Parts: sequence; structure tokens; C-alpha cells
Amino acid sequence: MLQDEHLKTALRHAPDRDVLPSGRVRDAVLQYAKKASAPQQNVLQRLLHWLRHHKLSQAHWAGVASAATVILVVFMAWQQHPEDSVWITAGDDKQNTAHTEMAATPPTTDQIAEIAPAASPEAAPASAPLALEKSSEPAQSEPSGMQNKENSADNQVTAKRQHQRVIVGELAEYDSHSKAAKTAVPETDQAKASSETPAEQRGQPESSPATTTAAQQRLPENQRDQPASKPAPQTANNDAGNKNFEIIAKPDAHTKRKQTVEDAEDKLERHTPAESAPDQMVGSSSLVAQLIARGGSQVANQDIQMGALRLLNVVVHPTANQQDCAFKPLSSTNIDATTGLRVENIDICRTSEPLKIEVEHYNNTMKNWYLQYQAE
Amino acid sequence: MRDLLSDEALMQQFCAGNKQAFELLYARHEKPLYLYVRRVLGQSLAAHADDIFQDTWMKLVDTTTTWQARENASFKTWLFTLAHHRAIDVMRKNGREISVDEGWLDDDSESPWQQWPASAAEQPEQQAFWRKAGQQLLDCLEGLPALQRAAFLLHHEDGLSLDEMTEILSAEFETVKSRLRYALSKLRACMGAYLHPMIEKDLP
Repeated sequence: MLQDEHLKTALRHAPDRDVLPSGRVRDAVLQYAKKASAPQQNVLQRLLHWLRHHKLSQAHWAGVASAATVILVVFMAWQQHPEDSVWITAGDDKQNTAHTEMAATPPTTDQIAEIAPAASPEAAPASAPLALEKSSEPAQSEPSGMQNKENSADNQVTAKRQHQRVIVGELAEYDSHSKAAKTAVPETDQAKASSETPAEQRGQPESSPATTTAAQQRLPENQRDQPASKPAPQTANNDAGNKNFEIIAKPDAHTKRKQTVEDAEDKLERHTPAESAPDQMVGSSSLVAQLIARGGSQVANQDIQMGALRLLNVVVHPTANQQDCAFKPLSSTNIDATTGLRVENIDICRTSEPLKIEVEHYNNTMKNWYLQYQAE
Repeated sequence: MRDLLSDEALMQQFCAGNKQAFELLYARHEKPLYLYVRRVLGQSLAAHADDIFQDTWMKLVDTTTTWQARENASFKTWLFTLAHHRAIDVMRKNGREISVDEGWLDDDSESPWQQWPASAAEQPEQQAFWRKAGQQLLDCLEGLPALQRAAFLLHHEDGLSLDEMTEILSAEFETVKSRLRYALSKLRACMGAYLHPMIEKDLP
């Protein structure tokens, strides 16, 4: 019923029964299948294949070209952008070659730290904390950036972070010095010597032996005269160290910083290892002597200026034998929960109320400074 | 040996990367597919036949992954489905009426042209007769709606069953059957009116 043989026969004899597609169409189809059967090599070939067989309007081509251009530009910019380490190296090189520019531009504390060893190659490694502070402060080489208010906030944050690193570095160095102090002086002798000359120490703060840097004081005698193991100057005097903190905390105070750096440079020139007085020992004995002689607050202020942040704790070890009562190097076992500062123990053999009082003054001064620093 | 392979087996080989399998498939279906496309389009749109034919094969190549998912699919059905939809799209773009299934349906079981010798095409005179009949049939096809024309061509020229036609035409079985019946009725009437004088004159 639905199959008509007559119509089928007529259809089979229709005049168009021998027509075929053109050879061009046949070749195109076979070529297309041949390419499709071959495995695609990569994304680029697929993209070209797609573009070849999908007609794109003028707007589409413009969009594709724009996107390709943007990608190319971003890629080139990304390739040319130096890494952070390159920036730091370039800043250091600039500082190393900027000796002739010191008069024109205010020297940074970095420059001081790097110039000083050349002037006094035998300087003791007293200002390592100071050098540590500046090595990671490339922003200070850009005075114009300091004047920018937006940058000043960032710089303050950076300075605080740098200061924290300085504290960590100082504590590490302090710990190493403490371990190196093998020749500790007995408390009695040191206390006697200190009690004989307290007025000299207070009256001549910079030239007297008692006013040498805290790091020097912590060095043993056999290490004082050795050349500096670090390329750091002996600029870690009290004023320079103190104002260096100020620079870090307020890097946009360009004028103030300039004056501070000049002062530090002057003092650096005047301070040589030969002028420095004999150092005091690192360890409980010298610290006890200083606490008794100068007072806990003053010693704390000195340590703050040096960046040696710590708290003290008096540990009494009663012994019957007097010879066993030798001061040990300062040991640190705890971290203060409130401030995060290291708590260093002063091991003594006999209970001393004056010492406890001075230690309390020391800790209070240190904590007050820390709270004030946190508030800033 | 490969000539004995089914279309589906050849297609599987082509999907596996055998380009010779595709060439065999193309050789098998080149002429039927091109004729179907050309006749469905009609004389007015015959210029699009090459493009539709080429697009159909290219789309088949592009959809090899789709083909692999159709395990029980017939290659011929799939190929003609692609061509049919592409042709319908071109006809719609050119303003041709597509979905006209209505029409007269008379009972032409007793029409005189059914007395013709349907297979008597061996003699030269008869070949000439059927060649004219073929041309007349093409003219009659021009007057059919596209979907009825497609149904007739798929059933009579390419030998597809009604089930296969339902898939190609994307229609229900009864709908396809109805379209085929309408097409046959119209074509019989058209052919009878043309050939009736020739029967008395040419045929013995």
C-alpha cells in the first residue's frame, strides 16, 4: 500500500539519477576527514582548525585580536618584571656605590652601617642589630617615597616588622654571645670594682668604660680585640641606636631622620675600638654589677636603645661552698606571655634584695617601653 | 574484504583513526545522499545541494564522539538525519513552506496508470518511457510539501523503513505514515494525468 513500484521505477529512471557532487566537494570532505582522523597536536592547532571552519564576523576577529594583544602584553610585562630579590640587590648595590652622593643626599643608617667598617676595620661586632635593621629597609633609599602619606603608613608597618626581626636577630646574637662567655668574672670582684667607680660611670657616659655598648659588654675579653666578624660598624651607641628606632617608627620624618643620621655618623667617627673602654663580661656577673651600680631603669634604657629586649628573672641557688658559686652565663628558658620577650635568668647564690629591686625596675622599664612601642 | 564490512563497523574504524574506512563510507553513500539532498531541496534550491552535502559529511566527522555513544545507531539513519535537518534549515531560511501535511487523499487504487508494466524497462522504447516518467515524477515532487517529499524519497529511493524514517524526520510513526500516504496519493494523481495519454499511445 505504501510502496508503489511504478513510482519507484519512475524514480529510478529519473534524469538526475547520475548526478554527483562536484570534485571540489568530494576533495574537501575527504581532506577534512583525513585531518580529523590525525591526532590533534596541541591547543593552537585546534584553535586554528576551529577558526578555519567557523566563519567569524569582523567584530569577532577584532575581539580575538584584542584579547591576543592583551595576553601578549601581560606576558611580556610579567617576563620583564624583576623578582623581589633583584630589587633588594639593586638597592644594596646602589648604597654601596653611593659614597659620593652622601653629601647631596642624607645618608641613611644603612649607609652608615656599611661605611663604618671601612673606617674601622677592627670594630667589634657591636652594632649587628643596627646593621640588621637597615639591611632590610630598601624604602629608605627613596626620600620622595617617604614624603608620600600613603607610603608612610606602609613604611611604618614595614618598620615595625623590621624591628621585630631586629629583636629576633638581637636575641639570637645575644644568646650566642652568652654561650661564648666562658670566662665569667665572680660576682664579688665585679661588684667591688663597680662599687669603686660608680661616679665615673655616671659622669662620663660616652667615654668611660662603663658606657660602652651593651653588646661589647657582653663580649668576653678574648673576643673584644678581634676584628669584626660582621660588616657592621660600632655605631651602636646609645643615641644612634635610640634614634634609629625613631627612624623606623616614623620613616616619613625626613628632616628629623637626617639630623639623627648625621649625629650617628659623627659619633661613629669618634668611636673607635681603641677609645672604647674595656668591656664588661657577658653573664650574670656583669649584669648584676651594672644593675647594682647604675640602677635597673638605666640599664633597661640602655638595652632598649641597643635593641636588646628582654626581661630578667633572679634565680637563687644557695650553695655551701663559695667556690661553687660562680656566675653562669645568662640563660633563657621562658617567654613572657604578656610581651613575648625572652626572660633571662640571673643565677645568684645569695638572696639580694637590692638586686631584686633593680631587676624589678629593669623589667618595669622594659615593659613600659614595650607597651608604649605597641601603642605607637 | 572491507566492502563486506557494515557501515557501522567502518564508522567505528574511522573513529579509531582509520581514514580509509571513511573513504569507503563516503563512496557507498555519496550518490544516494546527494540525490536525496538535491531532490528534497527541489529545483529552486538545487544550488545549495553541494553546500548541504559537504556540511553533512563534515558534521559527521565532527560528531565522531557522539557517534561512539550511539552503540545501536544505524550509520545510514544518522547520515540522512544530519542531511535532512540541514536541508530543512536551508529551506526555512529561503522561505519555503515546510510543514504542510494537509492535502487531498483520494482512493486511486483503480487508476489506469497502475496497469503499466512497472518493471518493463529493458527494451529501448520502455526505457524512453520510464525516463519521461522519471522526469514527470520529479516535476510532481516539486509540487509536494517538503516533509511529504522527504518521506516519499526516503521510502522509495533509499529503501528506509518507517521506523527509520521516524528517526530521520523526527516525527511520530503515524505522522510519517500519513505523510507518505499523502505523498503517494498526490504523486499517483499527478503521474496518471501526465502519463495516461502516453499509455494508450506508446505502450503495446
